[in-house]
Amino acid sequence: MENKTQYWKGTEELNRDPEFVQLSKNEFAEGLPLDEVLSESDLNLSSNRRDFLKYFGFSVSAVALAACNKAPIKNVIPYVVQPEEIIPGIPNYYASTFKNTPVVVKTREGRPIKLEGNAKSGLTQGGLDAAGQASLVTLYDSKRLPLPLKNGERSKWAVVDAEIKAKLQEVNAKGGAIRLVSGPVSSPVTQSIINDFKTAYPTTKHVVYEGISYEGIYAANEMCFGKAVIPTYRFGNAEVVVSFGADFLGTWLNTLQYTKEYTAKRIPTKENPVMSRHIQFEGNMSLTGTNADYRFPIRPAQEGKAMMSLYNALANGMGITQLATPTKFEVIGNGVEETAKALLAAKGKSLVISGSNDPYIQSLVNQINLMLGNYGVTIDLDNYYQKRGGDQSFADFTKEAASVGAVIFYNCNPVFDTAAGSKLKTALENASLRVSTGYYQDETAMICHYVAPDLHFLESWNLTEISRGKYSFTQPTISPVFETRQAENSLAIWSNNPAIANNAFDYYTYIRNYVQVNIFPQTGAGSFDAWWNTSLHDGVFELPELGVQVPSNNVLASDLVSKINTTEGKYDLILYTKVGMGDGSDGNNPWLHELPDPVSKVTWDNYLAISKITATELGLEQGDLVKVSNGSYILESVPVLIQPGQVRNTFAIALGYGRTQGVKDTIGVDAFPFVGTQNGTPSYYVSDVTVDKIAGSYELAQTQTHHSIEGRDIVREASLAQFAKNPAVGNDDKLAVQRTEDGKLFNLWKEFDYKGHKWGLAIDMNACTGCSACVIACSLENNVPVVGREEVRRRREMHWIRIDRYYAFRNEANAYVTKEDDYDGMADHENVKAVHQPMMCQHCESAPCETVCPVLATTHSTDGLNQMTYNRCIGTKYCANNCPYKVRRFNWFRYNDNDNFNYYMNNDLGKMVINPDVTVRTRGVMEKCSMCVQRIQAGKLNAKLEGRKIKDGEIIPACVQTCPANAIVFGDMNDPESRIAKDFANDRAYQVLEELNVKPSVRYMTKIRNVEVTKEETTAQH
Amino acid sequence: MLEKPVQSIIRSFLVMGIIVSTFVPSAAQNLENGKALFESQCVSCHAIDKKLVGPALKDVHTRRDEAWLIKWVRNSGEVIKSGDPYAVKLFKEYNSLAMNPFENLKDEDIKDILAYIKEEGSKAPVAETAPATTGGETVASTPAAGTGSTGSNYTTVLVILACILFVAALLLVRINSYLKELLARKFPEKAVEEEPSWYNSKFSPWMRSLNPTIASLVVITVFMLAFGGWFFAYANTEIGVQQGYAPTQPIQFSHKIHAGDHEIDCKYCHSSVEVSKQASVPAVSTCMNCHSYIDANQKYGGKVSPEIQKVRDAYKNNEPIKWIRIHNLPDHAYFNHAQHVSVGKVECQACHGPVETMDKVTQHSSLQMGWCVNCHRESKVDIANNDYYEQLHADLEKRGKRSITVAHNGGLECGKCHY
Repeated sequence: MENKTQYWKGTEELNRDPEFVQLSKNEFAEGLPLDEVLSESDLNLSSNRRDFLKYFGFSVSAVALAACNKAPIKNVIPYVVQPEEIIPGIPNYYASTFKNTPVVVKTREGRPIKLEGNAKSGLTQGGLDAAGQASLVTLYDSKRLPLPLKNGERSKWAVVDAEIKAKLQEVNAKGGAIRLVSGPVSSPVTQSIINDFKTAYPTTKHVVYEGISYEGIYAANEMCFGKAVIPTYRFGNAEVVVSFGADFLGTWLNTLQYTKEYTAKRIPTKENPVMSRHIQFEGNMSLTGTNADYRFPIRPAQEGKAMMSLYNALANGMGITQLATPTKFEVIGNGVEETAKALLAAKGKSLVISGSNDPYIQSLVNQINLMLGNYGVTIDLDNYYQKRGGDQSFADFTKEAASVGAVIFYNCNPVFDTAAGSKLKTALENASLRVSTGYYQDETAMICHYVAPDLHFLESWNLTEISRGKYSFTQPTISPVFETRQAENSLAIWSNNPAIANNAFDYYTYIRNYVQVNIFPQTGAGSFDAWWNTSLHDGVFELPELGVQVPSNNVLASDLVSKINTTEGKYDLILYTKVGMGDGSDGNNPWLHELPDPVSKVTWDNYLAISKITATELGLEQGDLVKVSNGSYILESVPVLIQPGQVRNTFAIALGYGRTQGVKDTIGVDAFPFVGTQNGTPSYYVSDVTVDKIAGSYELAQTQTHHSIEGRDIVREASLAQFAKNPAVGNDDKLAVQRTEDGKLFNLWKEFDYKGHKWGLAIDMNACTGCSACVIACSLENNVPVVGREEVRRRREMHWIRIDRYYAFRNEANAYVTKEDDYDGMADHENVKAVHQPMMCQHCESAPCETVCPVLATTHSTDGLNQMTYNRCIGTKYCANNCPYKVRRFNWFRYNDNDNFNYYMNNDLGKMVINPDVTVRTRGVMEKCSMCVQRIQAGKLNAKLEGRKIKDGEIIPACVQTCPANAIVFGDMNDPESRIAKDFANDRAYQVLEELNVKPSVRYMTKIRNVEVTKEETTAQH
Repeated sequence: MLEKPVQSIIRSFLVMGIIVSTFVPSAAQNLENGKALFESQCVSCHAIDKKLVGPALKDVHTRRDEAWLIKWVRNSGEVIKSGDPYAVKLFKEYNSLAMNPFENLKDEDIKDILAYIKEEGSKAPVAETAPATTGGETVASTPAAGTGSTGSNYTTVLVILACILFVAALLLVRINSYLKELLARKFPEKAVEEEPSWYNSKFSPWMRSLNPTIASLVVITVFMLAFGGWFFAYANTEIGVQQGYAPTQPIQFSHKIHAGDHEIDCKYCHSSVEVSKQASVPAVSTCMNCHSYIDANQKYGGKVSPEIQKVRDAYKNNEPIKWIRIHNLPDHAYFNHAQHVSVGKVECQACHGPVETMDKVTQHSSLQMGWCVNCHRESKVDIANNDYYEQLHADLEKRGKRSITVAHNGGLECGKCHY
C-alpha cells in the first residue's frame, strides 16, 4: 500500500518545473532580500571601509544613546465603579449568534477577543467555520461607518431620522410604493418589527433575496409538496450521500451542521469497520469534492442529463417506469450505474442533493429521494431549515423599480451581489427615498440618500431561529464602538412603532415581550423569568421537534424531462463561492482574504480556474491573463489558474470578489453580472463564454507550492476493505531496519522521562474536511498577523497551522495511478482525488530545530512542548532550515506597526482584537504553533487553584475548539484514560516522517475511503 | 564618585573572563549574606540613607564600635536598661520605640549586615529622596534609574574631560617638539644639542619596532573589551531596570497608613490577586467604601484632607484616577498573581517589599529575570497539599524525595513565562 499512490501538491511539483525544483532546494524560496534591503536605504554591498567605520561608529553611539533612554511612563487606570462581573485579567463569555451560527464570545475587560462555537447548540455542537471566526475582526474595522450619512456626508441621527420619517409619510400618503429589501430574515423578532413597519406604512412590500440564491429549492418543494422551505438534511442518517455540485461541506446552506453529522458517519473502527459512502458529481473542484469517496467530473450543463440517467438506473433497479430521455448519459468509470447501485443498496438511508438553482432539477432530485424513500429519514420538510419569507421576489422588484417611491435596503447589498445590481441605480432614480442600513458605505449605500448604519452583531440584541424551533440569542458584548444604531431600532423609530415609550425604543424589551408572548408558551417551562435567564445564559434553546411525515407529491418526474435544460455550449463558466468569502459581504475582512482557498490554496484573489486540457487547447498557462465575456458582460483581466479536477471545457470563477465600495482595496474581479436566469431563478453557470488571452501575466499568491513533498510517505490512505482486513494498513514499522535486536532505536539524545503531563495532538484525516476554520481560529488566538498578497507571494504567510492538500490521480478504471510514468496518460488532470492534512508544529521529542539554535531560543519543556522564546530569538532561521515539517514562520516585518501592512493590526482600533495573553511578535523572530500554551497554562492554573487534577478535554487549543469536524484531539498522553491516549493506540495512527525518528507529539490517522477495492490494490496489499 | 564605573569595569572583566564561575571573593559572600539579612530583617524599619522608623544606618560603624552594635542588635532593650547614655538618647530620639530584639542572629550574621551597610553606605549618595517633584507627571516619569543617575553622568563628563585633556597634552607635547625641530632646521646655528628625550630614545623606537597591524588590533581589542564589559554591566543593571522607582502619584496615597497603621489586608483593595493574572488597582468605589465618611479632618483643622477630596471628586465626577504604574514587566513576560499568591502561597512582601511601611510605594525588587529565576530555584512546591500534584507527589515519595523546587517542576523553562 505505501508509496503506491503518488501525491503532489501542485502542478509545478508534478511537472517538475526546473524553476520549482531549484526553489524547493532552498529553505526560503526567495532567497534573502539583502540587496533590496540595502538598496532601500541607498546602501550597496560595494560600500567601502570608510562607510563601514561611519556606520560602525554610528551604531555604537546609537546603542549607547538608546541605552540612556528613560522608560516611558505607564498608567494604570481602574474603573470608577467596577462592574460586578468583570475581574481584570479574567475573561467573560457571552453567548451570541453570527449569522445562523450560535457562538460564544470571549471578552476581556469588556472587549471581545475571540469567538467560539456554542457547544450547547445541538446543530453546530461547538463548531465554528472560518467566516465565523474571522467575523470578529469586522467589529474593529476602521472602514465601518461611525455615523449616519446623508447624501454621502456625515450627519446626525436626529436629522436623518426626521427626514426619513417625513419622506416615508409623504410617499405613504401619496400611496406610493415602499419597498423593504433584505436577505432572508431568520429572526422572528426582526420579522415582527418589519410587520410593524408594514402596518405603519401599508404600501410596503418586503422583498427577500439572497446573493447566493437557493430559490430553486424553495420553488421545487413548493411545486412538489406545497411547502416553500429548505428542508433539514440529516447527513447523520445517510449511509450514501450523492451530491450533484452541492458543496455542502464548504459553502452550501448549513455547512457546520452538515460537517458535524457527515464526519461522524465517516470514522470506521476496528470493531465496526463501516462508514458512509460519498459520491460527488461536479464540474469544479470543490471542498466537498475533495472529500468524496468517488468524484465524477461532469459539466454543470450535463447535470440534468446525469440526474435523469440516475433516475432511470434507479427506476430500472426498482421496476418503475423510466423517463424518456434523449440519450443515456454516462460518466467515467461507469459512474451513474455505480451510484445507482450504491443508492439502491442503501434505500431509505441515502441522500441525494444538488447544488443547482433550477427548480426543475431540484424537483427531479426530490423525485429521486422520494423513490428511494429518503423523506422523513434524511430529509425533513417539517422541521425545515428555512422558510421562504417576504412578499415579493427580487426579480419582480427590479421590474417595477421605476415606480417605487421609497426603498430601504436592510443589511443587504444588491447593487453588488445580484446580476441586475448595476442597473438598480438608474432603475430607482424615481424613488424619492433610498436608505441603506449596512455598516459599510458599500455599493448599495452609494446609491442611497441616507445610510443608517446598523450595529455589528457583537453590539446587538436579537433572537435568531436557526432552523424551525431552534433558537439562538444575539446579545451585545461591547458598547457600540461607533455612533451607530441597531437597524431594528431604526425601523421602529421610522415607523413610530407602538412599543416606543418616552421617545425611545428599547429593542431588548421588545424581544423579551415578543418571546414571552409568542415563543415561551411552546416551551412548556414554568417561570418565564427563570427560563429567560437560563436561555440567555446558554444562548440557545430548542422547541420540541415536530413529527415527520412523508410528504405527498404533486409532480410527475416525466413532466420534468422537457423542462430541464440539456443543451451544452462550447464552454461552461461555473460561478461558485469560496469557503470564507462567500457572497462577499465580508469583503473587507483581511483574514478571509489571507485564508488560502482550501482547494487551490490561492489567497487575496479570485481567478479563472481551468482544466489542463482546455488550457492547452486555448494556449493558456498558469499566470496568464484572460478576457472573459458572455456577450453582455466582460471581465477585462482575470488571472488563470490550472486547477486539477476541473472538468474540461469548463471554467470556474468565484463570486464575492471585486468589491469596489466599503472596502480598503478592490480585491479580485466581480463575477456577479455573469449570473444568469434559468427557469425563473438565478443560475450559477453560464454556457457559451469566450475566454481570450490578453497580454501580461499575474502571479497569484498561492501557498500551495510553498513546500514540496519529494515523494515521501506523508499522507496515508487506504480503502475501507483494506482497513477491515488490516486496521493498521500502511502503518508498518518504518524504522524496523534501524532497530537493534531488542527493538530499540539508536538515539543521539538521552531519553527523557516525562513525569507530569505530556501534551499531544491526534488528527483524524478521515474527519478533516479541509474547511480551514482552524487556520483563522489559531491566528486570532495567537495574534498571528495578516501579511498581504505581496508577502504571501514571497512565501511569508504567517499561519501557524496550514492545511496541506495533496492531489492524486485516478485513471478511468477507478484505480489510482501508481507510477510516475502513468501520469502522461492523465494529462487532463480531470480525475483527481485530494487529501487534506492539517500541519502544525509537531512538537518533536527529539526536535531537530532545538539542537541547531545557537541561542537556545527554542527548547523542550518537561511536559513535551517545543517552546519558542521570542525574546531570545535572534533570527538566524537555522531552526526553520532544520525543521522537517516546515512549520516555522519568520517575522520579516513588524506587522503590528508598519503602515505597509495596513490590515487591522496597525491601527489602534484593530489592535483591540489582540489576545492579551499572547506576545505580539516583533520583526526578526521565528514563531510557530505553541499548542496554545497560554490555554494549557491557564488550564493548569485553574486545576491548581481548585486543588484537583486536570480533566481530560478541559484544555482545548483554538484549532481543536473550532473544528466543525472534530478532527483534532488534544490531551495528555500520560493520562491512560484520555482520548488522545486511546487515539494514539488506534491502529490508524501514524507519525508523519516517522523514519526520521524525531518522535513527533502529533499523530495522524490514515485516511480511509469507502471505495471498492480494485484488483491492483488487492494484490499490492500486505 | 568614581568607584562605581571603575567597579563595573572590573566586574565586567571578571564576567568576561573564563574564571567567572569559580572566582567568588570571600568578602562578597559576607556581603551577600548581609544583604539578604538586611533586606529580610532590617528594611521594614531602616534604610541606609534615610530615616524611617529607625535611624539611617549609613556610617553606623563610625558612630559605635562593632561590639556595641552587636549587643544592641541582639537586644537593644538591655543596652538601654544598662543605662548606656548613647542608647538612652537614641531611644528617646525615636519616640521611645524599642528596636525588636534579634536573638537568633549570630555574631557573624550581624557582622555581615554591618559590612553590607558599610559597603552600601560608601556608595549610596545621600540623595534625600527620589527626584523632587511639583506633582507634574513629567517629573514623576523619571524612573529613578539607580540612585546615582546624576552622579554617573557627572563621572562620564569627568572621564571625557580627562580624555580630552590627555589628548590635548599629547598634542601640545608633539607640537612643542615639532616647533623645536622647525626652529632647529631654520636656525641650525642656534640649535642646542639636546640630549635625546626618553620618548625619542626609548619609547619611539620601541613603538616603531611593533607590527602596526597587531598593535592596533591589540589596542582595539582592549578598548572593545573594556567598553563591552562596561556596557554589559551597564545594560545588566541599568537598562529597563526600575528598581527604586517611586513616582509621585496623582493622589498621595500612603500604604503605610492603610496597610501598616490600619492593617487593612492587601486583598481588600487588590481583590483579584488570588484569582487573576492581575492584582488589580481598586476602583474608586472601593476607596469610597471607607472614604465616604473617613476624611481625616482632625489632621487638617476640621477640613477634609485634600487627598481624600480628590478621591471623592473622582467618584462624584465619574473620572477614573490615572495612577502611575510602578511595577512594569515587559510584554513578552507573562506573570500571574494567582499562581504565586494562591498556589505558591508567596507573601506580597516577598516581591513588593514592606509596602505597609511605605508612604510612597517604591519598586522594591529589580523584576529582572535573574531575580525571578533565583526565587524559582529556591522556592519549594507545596505538592503535599494540592491534589493537582497527586501523581507527582506519589512518584517522589516512591523515590524517597520530600520536596521539589519550582525549578524542578519546570519553573525555569522559557515557555512557562514567555509565550
